[in-house]
Amino acid sequence: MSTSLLVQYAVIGLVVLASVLIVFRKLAPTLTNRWLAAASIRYSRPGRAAWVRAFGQRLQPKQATGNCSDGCSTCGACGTKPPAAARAAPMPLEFRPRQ
Amino acid sequence: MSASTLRIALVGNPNCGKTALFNLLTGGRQKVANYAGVTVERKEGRFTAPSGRVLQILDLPGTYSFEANSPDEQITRDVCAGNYPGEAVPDLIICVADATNLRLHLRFVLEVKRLGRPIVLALNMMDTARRRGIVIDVPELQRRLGVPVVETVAVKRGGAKALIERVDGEMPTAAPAQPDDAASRADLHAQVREILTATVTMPRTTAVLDDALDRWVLHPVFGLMILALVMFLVFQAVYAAGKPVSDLIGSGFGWMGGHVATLMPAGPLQSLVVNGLFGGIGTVLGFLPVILVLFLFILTLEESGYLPRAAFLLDRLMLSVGLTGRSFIPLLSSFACAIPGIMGTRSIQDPRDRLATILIAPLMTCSARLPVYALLIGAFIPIHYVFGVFNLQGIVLFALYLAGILGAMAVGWVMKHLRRDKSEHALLMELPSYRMPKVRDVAIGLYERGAIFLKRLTGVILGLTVLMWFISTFPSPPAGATGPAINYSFAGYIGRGLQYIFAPIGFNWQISLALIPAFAARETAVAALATVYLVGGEATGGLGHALAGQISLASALSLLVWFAYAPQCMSTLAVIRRETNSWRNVAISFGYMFVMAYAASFVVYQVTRMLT
Repeated sequence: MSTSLLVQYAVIGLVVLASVLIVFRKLAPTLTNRWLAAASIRYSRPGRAAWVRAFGQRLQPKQATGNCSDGCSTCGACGTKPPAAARAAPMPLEFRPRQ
Repeated sequence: MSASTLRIALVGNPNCGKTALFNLLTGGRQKVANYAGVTVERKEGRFTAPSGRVLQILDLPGTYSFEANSPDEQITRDVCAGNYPGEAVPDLIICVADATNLRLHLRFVLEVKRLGRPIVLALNMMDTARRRGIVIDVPELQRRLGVPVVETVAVKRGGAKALIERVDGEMPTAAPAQPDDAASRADLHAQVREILTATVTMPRTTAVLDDALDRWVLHPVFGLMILALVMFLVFQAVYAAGKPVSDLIGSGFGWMGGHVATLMPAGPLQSLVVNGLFGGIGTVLGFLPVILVLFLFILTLEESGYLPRAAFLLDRLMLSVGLTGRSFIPLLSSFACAIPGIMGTRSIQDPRDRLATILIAPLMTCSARLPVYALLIGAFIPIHYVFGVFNLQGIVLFALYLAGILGAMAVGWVMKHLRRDKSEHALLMELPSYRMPKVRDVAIGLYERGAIFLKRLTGVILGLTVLMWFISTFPSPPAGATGPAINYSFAGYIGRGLQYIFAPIGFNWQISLALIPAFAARETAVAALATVYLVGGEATGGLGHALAGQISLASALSLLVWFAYAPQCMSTLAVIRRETNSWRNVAISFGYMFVMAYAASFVVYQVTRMLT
């Protein structure tokens, strides 16, 4: 395999990996954030090389700004992030018999 | 939070301009429109007052009373009463009231005052009030209410100057808290009448222009005709104005892809850039003008105040299929995206009506489907003018939107007959004054829509397109393979596997494959098709040309119908799960839409095959 082809495959590998991450974040935002946070803590530990810690910092998941919370990014009408206690208590449908 | 931070809540009746004021104060760009029920969530922003004090502003959903019935009103009640989880009681409440309709709005002001918290009354829309000859004796109103009163015009730059000065100054004294019981609530109406008599002079209770327009717009026959005409013209314009620019962008990306191909050495990276990025993403980007033209009309109608009238006109029709006129606004929001539509159902009080609206909201044609429609219509429907004026392609687009609406009504009707409780709920909705849409607001709205589309395009759609290119390119065909290379790729195997399910409705393996990324974001179906056909070497003349040569008219119509009814994207399902707190409702929503889309596509495909 020529060097040119090797470089091309390396670039493609990185692009595909980044794409997997982007798509996975879209489809499973909570799980991805959990994984990223765990990886971030792992790489940011004291004693690691500076560049590893910097990489770990970059992995730290960003706080979601919308409280639709599901990452649709289509309407731009999401509200600001509510307090944690409120997020734990959504407003489900409740059916009660009519009076 | 610093000690000098002041927590302020904006409250008031729906459609009095709270969010416009919030945007003006904080520089936010939260959605505003000229109808009630736009804000259904608590929104937060900050700004620094001239004194250097940081003001934390909470924009709360509009409510007519603290006797909250719907979930959005409960947020306002709980925040003001200090019962909202994790939220401290606001230091100051700014009660926003529409100066042209104090008869309605003052009652809630009095109710807020009884909480015993410091409040400031912002008389909003004072410019409109003056134009209509309404005279408000502000000092007298202030004296009678016992709270500071300031004038604001939330839609004008500098329109909140007096409010900022007041809020940044000395904290108003809180009135003593009063008990909230039925007798005292009835007393509020008498107080409002008394205050109005002493402080407000109104030449007319309604605007002359509103009355003149409503005579036609709300007419049971002419009103419906006007509504149908407006919608029809919108879709004609979408096609007439948006499509030529879309074609230009598509061709531009094709040219650029070809040019880049000559600059790169042949190999997999060139294929990724040309077939994946320029071919796939460029094809989707080409549909941005079509989406923007559609939103230009939606934003203009939202600002004008016409949409609540349309809800009023359709209330009878909605009742006949088990919905209420209150479902109209959430369903209308679903034309942009089903998610804000589903969120918007929080303004519906009855849980059964709310669930019915949630389940049918995804049937409204969201903007993400528009690229798919535009692609297939452009490829299969000839440019032909009906009666010499109406573009046939625009008529087909209108018909597809109509198909979604009729499908939703049919589902609503079935749900009405399945549920035990068949009671109907009358629509009580405030009709706002007509307003000339502001060019700046519409332009900001369009900019926001464009930015959202580009963000999706460079995020999830780009990611999915790269993955689609990857599975269409790898693995390489085995030695001695005779067919096209793509047949031996992952995409070829997956697509042919799926074709067993979708062949009866006329989908080839490429289309069957494109349905997978469409589940994450519908526009991706276009990018996926472009990539798969380009990698297969079958889309050299553009995707539309390739489709016209590869699939029959019957398959194209079947695909259009599939997208009109197809199961919604994953984000929508996630929001249904969250709003209904039930996986069962998610399964029902996904299941009925799949069956409906499959059955409709099957009928369309088989009938078209017989006829052609």
